[in-house]
Amino acid sequence: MNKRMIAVGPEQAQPDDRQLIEGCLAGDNSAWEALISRYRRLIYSIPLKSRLSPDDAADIFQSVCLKLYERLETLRDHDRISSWLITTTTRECWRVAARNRRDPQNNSAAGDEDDSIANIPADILMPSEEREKLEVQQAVRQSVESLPERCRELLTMLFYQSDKYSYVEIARRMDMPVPSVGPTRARCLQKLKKLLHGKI
Amino acid sequence: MKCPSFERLIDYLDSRLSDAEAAVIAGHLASNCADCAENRNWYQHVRSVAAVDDTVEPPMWVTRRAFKIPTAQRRRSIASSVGQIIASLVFDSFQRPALAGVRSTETANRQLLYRAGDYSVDLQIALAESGSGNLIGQVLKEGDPTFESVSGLQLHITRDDETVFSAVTNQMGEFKVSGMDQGQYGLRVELSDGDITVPDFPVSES
Repeated sequence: MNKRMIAVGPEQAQPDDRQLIEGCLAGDNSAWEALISRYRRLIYSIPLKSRLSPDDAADIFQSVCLKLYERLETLRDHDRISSWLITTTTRECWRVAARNRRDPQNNSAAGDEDDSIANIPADILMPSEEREKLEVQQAVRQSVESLPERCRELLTMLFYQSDKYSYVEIARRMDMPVPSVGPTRARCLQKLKKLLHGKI
Repeated sequence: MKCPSFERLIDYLDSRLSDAEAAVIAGHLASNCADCAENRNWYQHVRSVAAVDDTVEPPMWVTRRAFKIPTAQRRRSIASSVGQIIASLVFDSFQRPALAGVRSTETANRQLLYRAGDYSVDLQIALAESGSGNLIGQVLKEGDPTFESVSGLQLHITRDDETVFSAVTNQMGEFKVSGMDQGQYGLRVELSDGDITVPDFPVSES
């Protein structure tokens, strides 16, 4: 059986957040979709970690994305969009949780407590260790996702899937010779290290 | 010994080497080689970060709904001069004649149906035992079986021209609001090409 070529390819030149925001402001829908795709897991997971329902998480996701869109101009020079998103999403979670406590049946009404929540400092909303953990996780996952396809597939299997695969199993799943797994993984990790330089 | 290759070092850290091979690399690391220690620390850090990453992929419809935000916002700004479409009431379950022989003791939910162009807005109002009102609604567009044009719409429920509740329609165009005081309310639905306004609907017993 012919095995697939093991070219891992060059790192794709992924636009950074600033470039994506510039694209969004210029009316490029694909830039907006790339920006949302980049942070989708981060935004959606914070409400779930806060023990809110999937319905609440979906509403918060939409609400945070709308705020992001409305603030693109001011976020253009923001160093870390992930930090802004964590704060904004956490505030939304607090609002929704406060509403749910007041009226458990209500999943979507706005209340008067919004102003007071808007004034709570970010480090009170979420402990700094938790925030830092989310930012580092975002940086690693984002870098893995921006690797060439074969590297992304291999490192996702190694890092993000609960089963620990043997080289034989990895080779079978990726349709590559077993002796190539180790060197390929090493090359992919080198690329990842380069992408993550200065980020974690 | 000279430094092991990056590949061998990773194999060592992943416990994929024989005891003899592992012992050689462990010995090298114990000699305080700065380069290998840096690679080891980096890999162990990244691996541990990924291992506790429990973030969740959102459902596709949630992501797609957010993708539509720029288009909807742009159309809204272009269409702002179009203004509002005032919805007209076409059905009120409390206004229909009682059936012969049916006693008027029913405490059923009130259903109101409004039309505005191609759109319809269905409101079902129920009063909880506490006396507060619960509103369940759905926005539909004629000729749109996929609900594409009615998902993710922003709604404002107003009283005396102030927004007192807001909601976003789900992927079926549905929304719900509860804990409403009894009284008269207005509803504004933000469409991609204008607004629909339901000027006055009751949340009350009659």
